[in-house]
Amino acid sequence: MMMRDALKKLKKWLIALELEIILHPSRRRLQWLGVFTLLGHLVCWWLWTEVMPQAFEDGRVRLAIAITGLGLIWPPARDAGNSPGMRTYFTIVCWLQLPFFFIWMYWMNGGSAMWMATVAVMIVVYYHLTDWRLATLGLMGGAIAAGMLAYFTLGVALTLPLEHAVTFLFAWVSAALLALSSANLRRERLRNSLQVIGIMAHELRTPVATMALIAQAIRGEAVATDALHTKRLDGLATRMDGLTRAINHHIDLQMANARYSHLPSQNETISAYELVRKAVEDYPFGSRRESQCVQILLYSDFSFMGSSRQFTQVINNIVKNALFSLKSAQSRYDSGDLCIEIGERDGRGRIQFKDRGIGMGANQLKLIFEPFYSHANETGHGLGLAFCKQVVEAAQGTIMVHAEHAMGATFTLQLPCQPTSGEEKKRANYEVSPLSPA
Amino acid sequence: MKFPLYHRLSGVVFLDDETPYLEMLAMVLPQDWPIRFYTRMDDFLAQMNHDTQLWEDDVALHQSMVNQWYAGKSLPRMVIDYWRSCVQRHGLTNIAVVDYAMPAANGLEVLKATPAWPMHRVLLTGKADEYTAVEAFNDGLIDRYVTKQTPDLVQRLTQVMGQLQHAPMDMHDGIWRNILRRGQLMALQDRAVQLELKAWVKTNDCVEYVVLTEPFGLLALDSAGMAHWLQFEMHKDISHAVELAKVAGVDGLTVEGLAQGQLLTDLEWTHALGSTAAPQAAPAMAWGTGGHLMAAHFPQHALGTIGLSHRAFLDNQPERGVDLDEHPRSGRQ
Repeated sequence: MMMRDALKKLKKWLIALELEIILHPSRRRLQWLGVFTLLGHLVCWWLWTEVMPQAFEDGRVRLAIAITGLGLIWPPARDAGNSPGMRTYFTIVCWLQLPFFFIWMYWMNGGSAMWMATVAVMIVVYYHLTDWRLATLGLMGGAIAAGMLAYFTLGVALTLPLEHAVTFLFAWVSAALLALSSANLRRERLRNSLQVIGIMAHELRTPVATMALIAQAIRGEAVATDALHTKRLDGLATRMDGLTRAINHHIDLQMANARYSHLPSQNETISAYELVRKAVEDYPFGSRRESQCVQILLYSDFSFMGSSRQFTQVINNIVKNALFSLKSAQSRYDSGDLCIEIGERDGRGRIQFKDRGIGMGANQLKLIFEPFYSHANETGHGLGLAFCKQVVEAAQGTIMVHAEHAMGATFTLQLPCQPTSGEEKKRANYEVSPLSPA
Repeated sequence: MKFPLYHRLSGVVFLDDETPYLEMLAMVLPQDWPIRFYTRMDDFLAQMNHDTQLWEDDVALHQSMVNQWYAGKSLPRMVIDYWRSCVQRHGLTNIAVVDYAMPAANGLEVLKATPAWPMHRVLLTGKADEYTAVEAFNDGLIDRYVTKQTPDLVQRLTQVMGQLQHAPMDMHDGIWRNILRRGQLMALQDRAVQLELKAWVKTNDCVEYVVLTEPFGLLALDSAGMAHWLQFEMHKDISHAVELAKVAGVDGLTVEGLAQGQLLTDLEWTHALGSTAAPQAAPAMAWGTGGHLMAAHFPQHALGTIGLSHRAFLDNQPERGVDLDEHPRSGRQ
């Protein structure tokens, strides 16, 4: 089974993924490569003939290869960065001057130590310029072609010392492995960014479609003259405001989540109750019923140090997840379907979110705080809880989850308490639902 | 295009997990259709099951009318009695519009879970799900799909629902098809005749109708609950109608009009109804290729309002909203 998986992965890497012929095909980078080719060969020729003469150098060959750099500096088409023509030209130039020329020079100089080191460096450089599969093929082809050419020019059998062979092997294996892993990293980064863009689009789709319906309703109202006309228009304006608020809320939350790995540190004293109350009050619920299912249960308030903006987003994330879970469980949104408890014990403050949603299995539980893990098909990018963990831990707190499949989930934030003021102590042991008179 | 042999305006249900979206749809979709909006799959399915049961009872009633007609009872009278007494037939769901992307289950899974009743299924999709929708359409899972982002969504939905409202209801159509004679069916299959019939139904604001045989014609109810009889006569059978009128003692002028194809009488209709009123004549319209089908309109004011009119039914509906009538049978208690 494992063998089959490994073969499948190998097949994907080798064949299925598109070739990245030019790594980072920016115009500027290609131009610098051209300059390097042009000047590098001429300077090397001067060094190895005049300054530190070597056994073999050929000015005509050096000049011919240096000239190929001009095509990179001044490509014929304007959009040359990644055009098919440029890709072919780049492949040929790289192959000629790197594996083919360097290995040929290695043989022509009788396998000198300087050329052995140069070939090892060339192998690493080659893998940094083009797709690792193409580099591997080019290297093999270059070695064979250069070897044959050297054999015919020199007319003697070529011998490769063992230390050279080991050095080349080392250079080749490390270059190939590094290239493979950075190719995977690049792909993963791209996939993650596309995923985040997809989520944003998904989140905004319905509010925007609803906006279109409001526009339609306004058009209908434009011709209405009855007594309720003004009232209806006012209702539509309120809806529009609500939608705009919801859209902005989504955008803020996603932007905060996307910056989860480098949070600006900011310290202020936060009252847990005020934080939760305000966050829930400002939350853009989809319906009145949805908002009424949230219940805040205050045992005793406490204060802690942290960034109130970041902690508001933590609460938004957890509430959002809970509401999604309730929706997936087809909740009727009874009061208390999402219960937020605030309490304090032994100098540790606790904010607990209990929902009666679909819950999670043990396998999901292990992964939910990992970035880019999401169990909501195509609707979550898995950054939300990674963000929460980062913020809570920056405030010396912990975040825990307890959940079972189909049995709801409980998220617990534990935070170190700051000394409490008298007013906070007074607020204790009462139950409030922020959106209905408690 | 097919002209349904039995038709009535039926109800529509929507299922989408976004309350604000449904609330806006409730506001902008035409108010003269009974539409229910649900956000929970369980409530939606409960409503579907409930209505399917009523539909099955309704089909049984129709079949029994036809059976009794074979046994010699008057079909027009049975239909009018049915309309008078069977109030629950109004607004029965025949069109389900379901969103594709929902957290609990996707729209296609929900539609697969609906009862095996031949109702019309519409899938609401995002642009990205269009491929899925096309697949579902090709597999016969849905009748239509509408993209949520289409700029004229309301017009598009109204158009789709309008088309589906006027598509034949297979079970009922099958029952009423059986009673018609081959020649009568052929006459109604003429596209020109169908267009005339549709226009007539629209002009007279008819919300429910059935095509009858012996007498051959269309019995319809308008939205105010008044009955209309549209008498049909095949052009080739005029001589037979003239004979019948002569025997019934219809005056010479009318008989002359009949013979020239300018008039039709409601002789057969009044007879079938068991009415003692004197037969009336009305101007004949010649429909179809070569005018092979003649039709004349006889409003049935004398019968008064037949049962609960469609308009009265709509007026009695609670104001539109989302998840208004959650089903007590469904879900967790």
